[in-house]
Amino acid sequence: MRKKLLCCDKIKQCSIKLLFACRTTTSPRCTAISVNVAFCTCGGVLEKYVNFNELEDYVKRNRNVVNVKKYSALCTYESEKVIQDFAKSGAKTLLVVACSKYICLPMLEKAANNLGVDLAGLVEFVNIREQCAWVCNGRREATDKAKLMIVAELERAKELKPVKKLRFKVKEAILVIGGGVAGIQASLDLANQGFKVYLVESSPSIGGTAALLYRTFPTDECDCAICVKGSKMAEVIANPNIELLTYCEVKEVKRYPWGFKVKVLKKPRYVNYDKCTGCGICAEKCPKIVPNEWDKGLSWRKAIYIPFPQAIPFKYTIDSSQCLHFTEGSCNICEEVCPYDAIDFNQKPEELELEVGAIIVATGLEEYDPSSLPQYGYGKYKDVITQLQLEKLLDPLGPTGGRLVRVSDGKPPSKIVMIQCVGSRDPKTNPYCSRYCCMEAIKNSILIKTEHNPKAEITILYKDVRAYGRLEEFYVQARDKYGIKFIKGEVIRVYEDKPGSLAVEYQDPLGNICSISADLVVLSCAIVPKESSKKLAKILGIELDKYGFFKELDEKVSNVETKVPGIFICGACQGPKNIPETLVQASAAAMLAAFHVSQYLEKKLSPPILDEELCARCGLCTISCPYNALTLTEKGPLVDELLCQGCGTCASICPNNALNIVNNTNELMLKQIEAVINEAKSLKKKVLITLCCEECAHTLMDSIGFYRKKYLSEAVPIFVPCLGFLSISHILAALNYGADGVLLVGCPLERCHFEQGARIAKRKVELIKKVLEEIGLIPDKVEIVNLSATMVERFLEASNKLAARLLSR
Amino acid sequence: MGVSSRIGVFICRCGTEIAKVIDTKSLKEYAENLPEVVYAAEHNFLCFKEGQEFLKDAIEKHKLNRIVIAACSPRLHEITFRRVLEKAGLNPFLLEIANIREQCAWVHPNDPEGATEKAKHLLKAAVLRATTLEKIKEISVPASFSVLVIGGGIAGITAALKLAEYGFQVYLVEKNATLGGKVLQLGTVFPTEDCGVCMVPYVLERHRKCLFKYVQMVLTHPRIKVFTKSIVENVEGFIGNFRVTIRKNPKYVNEEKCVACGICEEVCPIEVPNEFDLGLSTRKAIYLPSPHVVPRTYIIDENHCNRCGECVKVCPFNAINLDEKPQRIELNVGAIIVATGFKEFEPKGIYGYGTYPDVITQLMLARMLDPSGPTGGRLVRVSDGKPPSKIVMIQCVGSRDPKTNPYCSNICCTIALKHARNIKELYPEVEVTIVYKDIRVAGKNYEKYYTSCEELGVRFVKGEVLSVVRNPESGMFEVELESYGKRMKLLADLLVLSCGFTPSNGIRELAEVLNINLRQDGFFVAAHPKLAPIETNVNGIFLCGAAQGPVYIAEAVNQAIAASSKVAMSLAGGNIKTYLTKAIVNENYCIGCRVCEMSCPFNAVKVSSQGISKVIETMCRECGICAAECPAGAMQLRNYRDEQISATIMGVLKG
Repeated sequence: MRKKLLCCDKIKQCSIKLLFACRTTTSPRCTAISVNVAFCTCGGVLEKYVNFNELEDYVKRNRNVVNVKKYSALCTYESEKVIQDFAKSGAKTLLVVACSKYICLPMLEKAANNLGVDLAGLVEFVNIREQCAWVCNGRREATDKAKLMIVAELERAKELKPVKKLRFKVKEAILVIGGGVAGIQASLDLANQGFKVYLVESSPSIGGTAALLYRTFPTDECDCAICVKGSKMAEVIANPNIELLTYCEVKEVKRYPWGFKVKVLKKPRYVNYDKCTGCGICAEKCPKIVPNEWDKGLSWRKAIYIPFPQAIPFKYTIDSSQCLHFTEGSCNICEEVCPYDAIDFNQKPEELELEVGAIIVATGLEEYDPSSLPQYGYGKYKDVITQLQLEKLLDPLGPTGGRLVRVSDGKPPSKIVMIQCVGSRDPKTNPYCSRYCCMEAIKNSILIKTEHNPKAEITILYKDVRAYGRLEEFYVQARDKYGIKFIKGEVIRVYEDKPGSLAVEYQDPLGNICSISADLVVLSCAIVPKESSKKLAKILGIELDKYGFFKELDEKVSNVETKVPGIFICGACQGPKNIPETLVQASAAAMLAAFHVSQYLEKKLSPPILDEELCARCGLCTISCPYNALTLTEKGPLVDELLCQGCGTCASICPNNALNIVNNTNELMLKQIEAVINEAKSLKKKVLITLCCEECAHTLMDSIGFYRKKYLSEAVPIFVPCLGFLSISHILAALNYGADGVLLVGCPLERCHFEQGARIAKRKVELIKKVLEEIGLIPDKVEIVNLSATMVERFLEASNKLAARLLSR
Repeated sequence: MGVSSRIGVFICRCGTEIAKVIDTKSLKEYAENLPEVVYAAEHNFLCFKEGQEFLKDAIEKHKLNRIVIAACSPRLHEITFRRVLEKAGLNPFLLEIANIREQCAWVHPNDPEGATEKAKHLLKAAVLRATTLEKIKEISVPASFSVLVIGGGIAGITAALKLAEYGFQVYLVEKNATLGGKVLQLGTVFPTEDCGVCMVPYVLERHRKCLFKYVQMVLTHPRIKVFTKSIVENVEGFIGNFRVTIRKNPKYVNEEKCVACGICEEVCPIEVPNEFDLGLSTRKAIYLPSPHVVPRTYIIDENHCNRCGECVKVCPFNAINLDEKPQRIELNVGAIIVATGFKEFEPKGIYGYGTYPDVITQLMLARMLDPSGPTGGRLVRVSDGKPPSKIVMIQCVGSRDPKTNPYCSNICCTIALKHARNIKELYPEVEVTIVYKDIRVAGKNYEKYYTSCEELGVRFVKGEVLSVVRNPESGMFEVELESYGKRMKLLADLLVLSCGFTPSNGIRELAEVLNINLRQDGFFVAAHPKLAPIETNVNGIFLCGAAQGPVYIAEAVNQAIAASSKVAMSLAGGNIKTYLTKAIVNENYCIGCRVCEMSCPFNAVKVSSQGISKVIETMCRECGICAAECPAGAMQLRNYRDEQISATIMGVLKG
C-alpha cells in the first residue's frame, strides 16, 4: 500500500502561512497541573558534572512546581521513597531528572506497583546523565543544557493527563484457515491446551502438500511422510476440541473489540456427510474420468472422488465442474448405486457464522507451474516432470505403484537430470530462493538410487547446493556414497535430441556450452503463494509482501504476526520453508494466539483526539495511517483503538490541525520549542533544537552517553513518539522563534518502528529546505539524520558538521 | 485377571466393507463359543452415533465388563469407543480391538474363506487378551507453575518474556555476567540491516521495541527472576517437579546497588583486552562488557583483578565486595527450557589465524563494522589501523570439513554477504572477494543479499583454498586456491574467515546434568526433527535457538515461542495428567541391578537408595525397553505384560 503524501505546492502554501502567522500562545497557567520534581545525583557522582543546587533553584522558580527533592539512587534503593514522596506531595505529575528513562522507568513502575500507586503516563523524564553530564564539556555547559532540557519537559509535565488503558478479553476460540501440516500443528497445539479450534480447509480433505509426499528429509533414511501426516491427521479428527470444516471457505471477516465474526461458506459435496461410509461403489461406477490432482496429473480419478486413501474425513465429494450430472444434465449413476442413499444433487451451499478471538492463516503453497518457461520443455515433452510429480512416481501408493517409469513409454529411466531453481532466483519470475528444492532433489535422487535403480545415472544441475545446516550430510552422502553428479551451470534449454530421448543444454561457470542426455528430466520448481492469497488478504485486512506471500509484522523478530492484532500467519504461506521449520512456526503462532485469547489484554492508549469543527473530512489522515486504524465517517475519522499505535502520523498530516495525540498535542510541541528557545536566549546560548523519536533516537542519545562521547551541548533533545508526528509547522516555528538550527533524529528509513514516520519526516525536511530557499532563508538550518541506536560515530559526524555550519556564524 | 470376565464381542460389518469378504455371521457364532464371552452381536456401523448407542445399551443390559470390537483399524476409532465405555461406566482401557478390515478384509479381497478364518484367529487373540485387561487409572500430579530458562540470549529472553506474560514464574539463568548473548555483538543483522537489539513487540503493540529498553523490563518483571553469572549444577525430579540447584558465581559487585556511574572503572589500574570486542579494544578489570548489556551493572574479572581495592574506596554506594562467595540456590520448577546458544569456531592455526593480526573472523569484522564498536564503525586493518584495500573472505572455515565440523553452519554465507555489502556501501573502492563452496542464502528474505552484492561489485570465486601465505615484502596475503580445476592466486591485505559455529562452552556438562541427548557434533538434539522438534528425550525439557544448531534470529525467536507453547501445554491447569499405561515394578522381584535405570532412554526409572526400582510415571514413554531388559521379570509394562502378550499369541495360534 503506497501512501500519497501532500503535494509540494500545498505544503509551501501552508508553511508560508504558518511561518508568518506563528505567534507564541501561552495558555493560562492556573489550569496547568502541579509537578513534583525528583533529582538524582547518582550517588553524588553527578555533582561533579552538573550543578544541582543551581538546577534545584531554577526549577523551584517555576510556578507549577510544588515540590523538589534530591535523591542519591532513585533507580535502586530509593525508588520506593520517590513514589512515596510523590504521593505525599499532592502533585499531579512527576518529573524525574536522572539517568536514562529506560533504566528509571521500569524501576519506578515496579516500586509504584509494590506501593499500589498507578503512574500511568503521569511521569516524565530528563536524562541528565547519558544525555547531558557525560556528553558535555564542563560543568557550565552541562548545567545550562540541563536547564534547557528541564524547561522542555516541565512544559509537558504541566499538561500530562493520565493515560487510559484498554483492558479486554476476546472470545476464547480460534479459527485456523488451512488444513496442511501448519494448520494441523497449530490446531493440535491449541486444542491440547483446551481451546476450541475451527479448522477450515477449502479442499475435501486435510493434509495439504505434505499429504502428497512419500518420504521426507531430514531424518536418517528419510522417514515416511505418513508418519507425520498420518498420526497428526488422525489426532485432529479424534480431538474433541477441534471442529473440522472441510470443503469450506472463509468468505467474510469482520473485526470487533471482542474478536472476529467470520462467515464461512460450506461448499456442497452433493454427498450427505453423515450417510457416506466411504465404501466407494459410486466412484467405481462413475463414468467421468478426470486427471487426479493429488497424483499431480499422473493418474485419474472420477468426478465423484476421495482425494487420497488416507483422506480425513473419509467422505466422497462430487466435483461439480466435471460431473456429468451438472455439466450435461444427464447421469444419476452414483445416486442409483449408493447403498446408503447418500447422494444429494440438490445440496445447497451453507453459510456458517463463527465467532472467534484469533485467526491463524496457514494456507500453504503451490508448486510453480513451469509451462510459462518454455525453455524447460514442460508440457511439450512428456518426460519433463516436476519434483512433486516425481514424488508420486516414487510413492508405492502412487499412480505407478511405486515403479519409477517414464511417462511417455512406461519404461524405467536410467539417465535422470534434475534442474534446480526453476522459477526461483530468477528476476523474471520469482527472485527469492525457495529453500526446500535442493534438499528435495537430493532426497529424491537418494531414493531412486536406494529403492529403484542403483545404476541410474543422476545429474543435478544447480546454481548453489543449498543443503544448509545439518542437511549437509545428505548432500555429502548423495555425492560421495551414491555417486550422484552435481554440476554447476545455467540451463539454456531442454530439447529432444532424438525421438524418445532428451538433452539438457547448459552453460558452465567457465562459459562453455555443454549438453547432457537424459531420458527423464525433473524440474525443481519454486514454491509460490496460492492464488487465493490475494482474496483472503483482502477479506482479513492483512497485507501481502512483494512476492505475494502474507506479510509478516517483522522479518526478524516476529514473522508469525501481522499488523492486525489477533491475526497470525504460519507455514509456507508466509514464505518458502521445509516441514520442520513449518511445524515450529505453527507452534509459535499457536502460542501467540493462545495468549491472545486467554489473557486479559491491556493496551495503553494514546490515540488521536479529533476536533470535529476543524475537520475538513479530507481523508488524508485515513490514508496516511500505517496501521489502517482510521476510517473516514461523516463526523470525521474514527479511531480503532486496538490498531492505533500512537505514532502521530495522522496528526502531522492534517492540514487543519484537527487531530492531536493525547499528551503530545501540537500546541504542546510548540510550547516546548518556544520555552527552550526563550530560555536559551536568556542564558545567552545558541540552541540547536534536536527533535528525537522515542524509538531508535532515544536509545541513540543514551548510547552516546554510554560511550562518553562529547558533542555540542547546544543540541537540546525534545522527544516525540515518532518523527512522523512532526509537522512542518513545528519545524518552521522553531526557526521562527529563533532557533539556530533544527536537527531531526530518527530511525533508519527502512526500519522506522512505525513503518513510515522516518521517511515522511525526511520528505518534509527536503520540502522545508526548498521552501526556505525560495523565501530567501538559509536552507541548511534544518537537517535530518536517520540512524539506528548504535550509530554513535555517525551521529557525532553529523552533529559536528552542523555545529561547524551553524554555530560559527 | 482374577475377576471373572463378562466379555461382549461386537462385530462390525462396516456396511459391506468387511461383510463383503468376511462371513460375519459365522464369526459371531464362533465368538459366542469363546471363553468368557457372554454376548456377541453384529452391527452395520459401530462407529456411527447409532452404533455407539447400541454398544452402550448392550454393555448396560448384559452387564458386560470387557469389550472386544472386531472392526476397522484402532487408529480410527479407539478413542471413540473408549469414550463409549466411559459413558457406560466402564474403565476405557477394558477395550480390545481386532482389526479385521485394513489387516484382513481389505488385504484378502479374493479369499473370503481364508479371510474369515484369519478373522477368527484375530478375534480369539483379542478375546484372550481381553480376559487379561486391567483397569487403567488416570493420575494427576500437581505441577509447579514455574519454568527454568537456561541461557539469556535472544532465544532465552524471548521464551522468558512469553512465559511470564502467560502467567508463569520464570527463572532465567545465564552463565555470563550479562544478558543479551550474541545479538549485542552483531552491529547490524540480516535481513533487516538494523541493530541486533530489536525485540518482539508487546502483545498488542504492532511496533518493535528496542532490546535495551525492553530487556530492562525482564529485570523488573514481577514474574521473572534473573540469575547472571550462574550455572545449573544439578537437576533432579521429573516434569512438574524438577528440583534445580543453581550456583551463582560472584560478580563482586552488588547488582542491586550499582548504578553504573563508572567511577570504579576510572580508578582501576588494570587494563586487559576486551572479549566482547574480541580483543579489538581494552577494558579494565572492573568493567561493563558493553554499554548495551543488561543488567547494566559493573562486574569484576577475578582472573585479572589484583585486589588493590581502589574501586571499593570510590564507590558511592558500597556496591563492591571483593570477598563475595559463590551462592547455591535451590529452585522447584515445572519445566526447563534450554537456550544455551552457540559460539564462533576458533580457527587456530588455520590460514594464519593467530599468527597474523590481519586474519580475522566474521565476528571480529562485525565488531569493527558496528557503528558503536571499538573502531566506531570504521573498517581498518588490525595491524596498523590503516584502511584495507583488498579483502578476501573465505567461507566454510570449520564447517563442511570432516577434519573440524562436517555440518554446514547455516548462517555464515548470509553473514559474509551482509558484511560484504556493508563494506562496499561504505567503501566502494575496496575490493571484496568471497571464496566459497556454495552460497547458501536460502529463503525469501535472503537471496536479495546475493543479488545486491553482485550489483555492488563483490567478486565471487567458487573454489577450494589450498594455502595462505604472507609475503613479508609486500605485506599482502597470498591466497592460493583451486577453482574449476585451475589454480589461481588472490591477494589480500585483510583476510576474513567465515567461521562455523559450535555449541557454547559447558554444554557437555549441562547435558549430563539434565540427562538429555547430544548429537555427535555436540549440539543438543530434539526428540524427532518433525514430530517433536522442540522436545527432548526427557519430558518437560525443551530446546530452542542455536542450542540445537546455528539458526537465524527469526527461527530462534519462533523456536523460543514454540518452546513456551510446549511448556504451557504441559503445565496448563497446574497438573500433569497421564494415563497409567506405564511400566510398573513388582518390588518383590526387583533385585536392584539398575539395568532398567540404565537402559531407559527417557530418564523415567530410578533405583532408590533401598535398591528398589521405581518408575516415574510422568516421564515414562511406554516403550517397554525396561521390561524387556529386566533380568528378574520384575518390570512389566501395563497393558503389555508378559501374560497379556502370551494370551494374544495363544489366541492367534490356536485359532
